[in-house]
Amino acid sequence: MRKRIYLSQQNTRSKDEANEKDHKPLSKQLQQNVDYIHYRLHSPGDLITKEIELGESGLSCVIMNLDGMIDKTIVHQQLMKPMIAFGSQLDAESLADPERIVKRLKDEVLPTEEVLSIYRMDDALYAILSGDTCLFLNGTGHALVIGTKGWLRRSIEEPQTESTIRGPKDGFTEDIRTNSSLIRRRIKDSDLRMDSHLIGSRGRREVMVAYMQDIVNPKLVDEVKKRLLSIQIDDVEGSGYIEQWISDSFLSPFPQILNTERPDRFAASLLQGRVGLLVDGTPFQLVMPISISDAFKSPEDYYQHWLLSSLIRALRYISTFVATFLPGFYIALAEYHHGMIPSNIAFSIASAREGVPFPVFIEAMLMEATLEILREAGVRLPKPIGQTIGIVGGLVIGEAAVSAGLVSPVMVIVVAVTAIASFTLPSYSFGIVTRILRFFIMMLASVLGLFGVILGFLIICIHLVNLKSFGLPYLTPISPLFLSDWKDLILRAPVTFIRKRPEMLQTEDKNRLND
Amino acid sequence: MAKRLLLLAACFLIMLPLSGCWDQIELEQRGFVIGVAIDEGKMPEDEGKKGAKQSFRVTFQEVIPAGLRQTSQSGGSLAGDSYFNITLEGRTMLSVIAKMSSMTSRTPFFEHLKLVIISEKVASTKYGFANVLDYFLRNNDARRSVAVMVAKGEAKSVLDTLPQGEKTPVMFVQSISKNQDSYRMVPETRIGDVHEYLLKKESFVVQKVNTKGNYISLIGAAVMDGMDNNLVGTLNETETEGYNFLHEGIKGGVLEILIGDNLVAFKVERVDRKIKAVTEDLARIRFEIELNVEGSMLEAFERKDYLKDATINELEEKVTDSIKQLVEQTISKTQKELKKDVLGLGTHLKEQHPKVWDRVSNNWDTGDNYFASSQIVVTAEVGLRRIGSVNNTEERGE
Repeated sequence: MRKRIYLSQQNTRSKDEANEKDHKPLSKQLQQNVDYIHYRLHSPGDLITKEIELGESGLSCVIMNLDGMIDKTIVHQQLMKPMIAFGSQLDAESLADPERIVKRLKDEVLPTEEVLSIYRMDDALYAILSGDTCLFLNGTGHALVIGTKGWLRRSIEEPQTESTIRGPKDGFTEDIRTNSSLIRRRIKDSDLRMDSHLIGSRGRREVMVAYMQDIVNPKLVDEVKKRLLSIQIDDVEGSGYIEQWISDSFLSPFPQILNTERPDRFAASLLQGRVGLLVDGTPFQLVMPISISDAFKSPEDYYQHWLLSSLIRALRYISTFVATFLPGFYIALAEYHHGMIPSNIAFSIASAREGVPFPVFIEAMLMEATLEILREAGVRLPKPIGQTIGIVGGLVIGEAAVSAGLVSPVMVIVVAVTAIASFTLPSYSFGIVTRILRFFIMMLASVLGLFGVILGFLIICIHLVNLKSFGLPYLTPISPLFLSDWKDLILRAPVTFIRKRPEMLQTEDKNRLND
Repeated sequence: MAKRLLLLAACFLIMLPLSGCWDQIELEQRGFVIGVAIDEGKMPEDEGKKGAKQSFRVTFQEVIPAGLRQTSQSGGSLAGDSYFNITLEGRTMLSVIAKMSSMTSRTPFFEHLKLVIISEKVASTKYGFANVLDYFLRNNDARRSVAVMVAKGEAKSVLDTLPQGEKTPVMFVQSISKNQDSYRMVPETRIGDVHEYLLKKESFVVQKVNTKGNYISLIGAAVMDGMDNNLVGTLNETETEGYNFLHEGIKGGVLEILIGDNLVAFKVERVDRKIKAVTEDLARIRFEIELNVEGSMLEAFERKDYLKDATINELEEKVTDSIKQLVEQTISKTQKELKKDVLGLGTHLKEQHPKVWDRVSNNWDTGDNYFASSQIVVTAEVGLRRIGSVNNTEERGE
């Protein structure tokens, strides 16, 4: 039984006076308790209320749970069967002492370790609503909660968003217990902490704050918990809610909290001295704090040879620049700085643009907008249709627009290269940033030329220098400078050379080696 | 407060489109001028304006981008012409260009200019060469890498030839001028280098372009006076060879020498030049030029064992002689006939013997002409690096 949850209910907001009422203790009268729960839940169709008589003279007790939330075989094998067997042994004398019966049930009879006594109405309600079974006995002021949670879960599958070639193939699922087990399986250390909290006054979603007690900076844990408990909303559907509630700046397009579907990345982050949040009901778990360098890192980098990883990581940096600046750069060159293009390229661009009715900026906007529409449509549509959209879109835009003379082939190349380059970032949420900034740069380029592109770059830089993620400046380790962290920045040094945890995280335990 | 901030932000945002876009032109609206040929004009003297004696006939070559495109359909000629020439007259470059923009559909654009050709006649008038180039140097449109050439006869005819293998005559001439194997022409002269020479008042050579019917050749060189900025003479084929040896400009070339009764071709691969100046007597400054030539023998009609020391020595000696002969021709031409220092000897004095240079600089290759009276001694050291893949050429059986 998850004892901690019941003790940590202080952070669920009291939503109305009804909640206050629920603090009332359980009644000694069985019928009152049952009636009250029926009254509070409004007797829904899936509420199972099963009355049993223990023994001959009959000590009546009631089992309550929600159909569909429970594992029926557990209820049958571990609750009903032993109870009936136990009841038949009872004589009239022992039936007179219900308190003793409850104690014997809890300690001897029920063959499950998930048994807990509760004394309050709201605990009983929460137990039933979260899939456990409540056992009320007549004449006692408390009830037993038996862990019978068992709903249909998705099995562990390969992560959809961050795929790797050599890495482990298991990904987080929607079930927090599965997810926490995935982390526990990776870090078998007594200092791994997973503190549970219930977030949301109605949803009461379990969120686990995971960290390594002896590694992490304690101030960071305090800050994360403080922000987490400040969430005042009825339900956090998905980790995106939490991310938006607790991140530093809501105006910045840059994500200040990393979301990942990969347990290996999550576990590695904990060991680096970061704090992770496991959120129930979503496969996307959160890691904080992060800096911009984490946008370019993939777990894959550490599984492959360092030379390959370094080159690929350098490639990601380049392609991020390409994805953000290439269309703007092209617009600036083609609209203002014709002398800066090498002659032969200038002539071929000019010949390709011959007869195109739009200025370069409009042409670029049209193409980029079409691409975004295609991308959005491809994501939203059912998978088989999504692929068709890709083919149709590619054909229509690549071939027809060019042959109709609406768009120059050079522009198609620019847009295509940009689109592909924006996919090289391992994290989807960082990829979105390049898409937003690209339009910003394009507009500046069309108005001010290369000066605008440089201006845009400066604006982005100024913003990044100002941004922080849980107190960690966003541009670390570049500015402020942490030279030892450069081993794992653009290049990834061989694993044997990375002896320290990231200096920028200011961890308690700085050394990774066992000496 | 918030309202005021919003207003301020809006003002800044409006400023961008208001002040931006002022020089925006689409790429395809530019008329890319890639070559300019300047000839003497026939406009009558203008009595009203003093100094308005000269006029120019300027030919512009503009590319037609659509014609340059690689056509995928069979028959590439369908794409149409890839360039057109337009010839106009005027007294200054700017006025001609202004005239031109009223006659072409696209605004002339000089940032992709590749080549300026000046006719011999225009270049030989006093200051003529520099005057003509003034526009291209002052206006920051054109790059400093624009090639400058002097045309024998009419400059316009160079732009009128039919290019072979290239899309436009300018590209054709330009790619010839970049060929490194030929040492019958001087290395490419860029307008930036010319500008430097003009400012330093140093004499220099410029590539020379000759047209004969539809053929273009860049053999020879034009010698320019650093003081008067005009053409003073030309170097012929062999004199240019000698010039290249003396000026380290060589990157490849062939010397034919006689061994026995047959020819042997020696391919020059590298030349190092060392100059030593003896400046005791200003009236007879002695320059000792040491040339270190390396090369290989790639063609031999004389049957001999070229691995023998004696043969190699003979070959090296013969090559040395032939280089000396070439070089002396050039020296006598520049020193005795043209009396212009294009060999860079003045620069050597300036760099190595500044005090001497201070005294002679005003009369170096003008006036008293210390250059003409100096003594130039050339020694050459030839090293044969390879004799090719054939080791032993059989002796001819009698």
